[in-house]
Amino acid sequence: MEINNIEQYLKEKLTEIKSMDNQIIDIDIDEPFENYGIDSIKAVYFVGELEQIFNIELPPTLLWEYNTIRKLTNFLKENIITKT
Amino acid sequence: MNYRNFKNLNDLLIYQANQYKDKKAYIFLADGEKDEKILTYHDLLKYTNSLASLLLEYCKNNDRILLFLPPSLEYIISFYGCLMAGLIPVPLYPPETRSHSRLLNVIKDSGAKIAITDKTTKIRYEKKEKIDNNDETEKLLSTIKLIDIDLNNLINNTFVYKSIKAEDIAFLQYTSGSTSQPKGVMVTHENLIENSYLIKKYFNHNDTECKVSWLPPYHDMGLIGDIIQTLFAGMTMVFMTPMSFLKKPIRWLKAITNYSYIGEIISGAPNFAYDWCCKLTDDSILNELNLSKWRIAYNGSEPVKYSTITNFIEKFSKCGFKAEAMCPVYGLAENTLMVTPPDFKNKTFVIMVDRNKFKQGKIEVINDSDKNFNSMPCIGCGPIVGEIEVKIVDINNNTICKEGELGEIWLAGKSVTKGYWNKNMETEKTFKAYLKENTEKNYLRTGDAGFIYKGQLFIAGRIKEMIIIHGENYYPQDIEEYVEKASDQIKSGCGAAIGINIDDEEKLIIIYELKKRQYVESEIKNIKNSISKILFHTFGFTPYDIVFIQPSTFPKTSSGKLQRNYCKELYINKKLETIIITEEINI
Repeated sequence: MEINNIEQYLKEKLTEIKSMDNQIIDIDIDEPFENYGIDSIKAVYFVGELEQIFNIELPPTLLWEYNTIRKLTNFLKENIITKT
Repeated sequence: MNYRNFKNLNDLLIYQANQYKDKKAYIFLADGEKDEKILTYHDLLKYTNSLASLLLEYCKNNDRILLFLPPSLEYIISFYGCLMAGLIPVPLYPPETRSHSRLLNVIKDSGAKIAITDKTTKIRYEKKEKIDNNDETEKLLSTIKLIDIDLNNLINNTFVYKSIKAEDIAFLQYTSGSTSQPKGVMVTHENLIENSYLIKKYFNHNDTECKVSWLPPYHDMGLIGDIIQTLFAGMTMVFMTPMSFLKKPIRWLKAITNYSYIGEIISGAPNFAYDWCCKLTDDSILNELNLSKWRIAYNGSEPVKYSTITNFIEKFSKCGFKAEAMCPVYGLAENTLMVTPPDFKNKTFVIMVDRNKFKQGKIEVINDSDKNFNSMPCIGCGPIVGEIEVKIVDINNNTICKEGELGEIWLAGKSVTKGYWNKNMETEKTFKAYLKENTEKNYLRTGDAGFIYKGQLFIAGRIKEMIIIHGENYYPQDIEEYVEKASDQIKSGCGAAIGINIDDEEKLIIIYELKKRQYVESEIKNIKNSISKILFHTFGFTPYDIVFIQPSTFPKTSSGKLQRNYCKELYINKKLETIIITEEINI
């Protein structure tokens, strides 16, 4: 996946997770996830989705460590490149 | 054989191992899907004994032992191994998912000196220890001896047999209490045998059935309801870690489908899990699921939502899910686990009550034909059973409520636990409540408000000010402590964390006074962000709403106590005096 695609994918995923609470949000890639009301169990679900799409194993605490879409995109970009 | 006559869980384990031998007791799905790790009844006893003899090299009777490892076969063996050795296990949260402070306070409170762990956790734990610069933390951690459990090394065949009395403490269940003051419920062997007997009897379990579970083994619902019940009823349990489920919720329903060949399925979870399955399961994969063998889908440990039940049944009836399988239940750790069992022969018992009367503590059931905007669904959480005495009490004068009145749920019976570990005052307060009419007999106060209608127990909310998020109880004081750390503009002691029911779900609202009457928009945004951040990092959740109010406007009593319920009303009615927010001025 290209960097822009990763970012776009993360944005869509976040929107989808928020729609579970019947909330529609505007997404800013520098806004920390916690400000979107992503709690610990939703964060783990998010990580599970990433594991599946990128086919890599990730720690359940990933969203704590890389807490914005920008940081997470960079992390994924680096790790996918190192992997292939 | 009446299993109710067993005096402790160890005798039961030996009996079941001899009876079921090579039958599979526990099947762990290491990857949440196909990677099976199997433990037979025979091996369960073998490893349990071997671990018990190993533990006795380091420990003496009644020592508390921390279970400090992720859900696995090893976790189960560790639990039974402690019991077999006459030690008191303390099931814990795995360290990566929780803030450290609660964990440390539990370790301190229990007085444990030894922890059973696995290699991976041990390494992670030692790494964490270095990151945390808190001296007290390091001091405490360095005093704990870590024993890592490896099944390959458990080859000692010594048969350990300790004489254990029914009233001896089996384990400590830390579920309630605040972060700073955790309370460990002392569950005795008699409690475990009695409550397991009731679960088996009223769920009508038999040994041809199969449990499917992803519930954490460090909570009563997973530990007693699934792990111990499997042993008690001679069933097979298929399980995965909570992480496996949370990452891919469909794994739960797939496991139920895949293991239906064993027999009928018993599997339960808190309400949110059913909700997730509805929202995250794509219609296109419904044809891969077969839920027709799912006999009881119990729904407990957080408020049951009417919409979840109806959505779940509607969606999954296409895969054979039976409406009567959906069973709300009610229980709490202080009563070992179960209070009211499933009513599995009938569809969920739902009544409509008058909302205004309900607010005043009166239950008025509305007929279907009279339904209007003022009617509110209430969900029956199962029938009252003969072995557990349930009283609805008016706590203003400790008298039993009349029919159709809301009150606090009080309990008595052999499932009521011994109290809180090393907490005499709290034990007195919660476990020694007396009715005005009979000062001889003591009751357990559940802290939950409820009523009884046609023999069913209905839960209406809580007497205590606790907030429930994803089935876990939080004390507002704990949340407030962290909110106050978020910014120096927040006035300490002048605000509250409150739980408000929005869309049938409890939401966290933070209401606080700030120091000034007026702020610019960006300042407010920053303060809100730091509150969300600190709560997320500490508890793993964020508030639904944050409201800042004018200095000295938070409602307090004349003695200066916060009036949380009054504040809640002001919030709902939008009557709070919020601060003035001005736009940015650029010079």
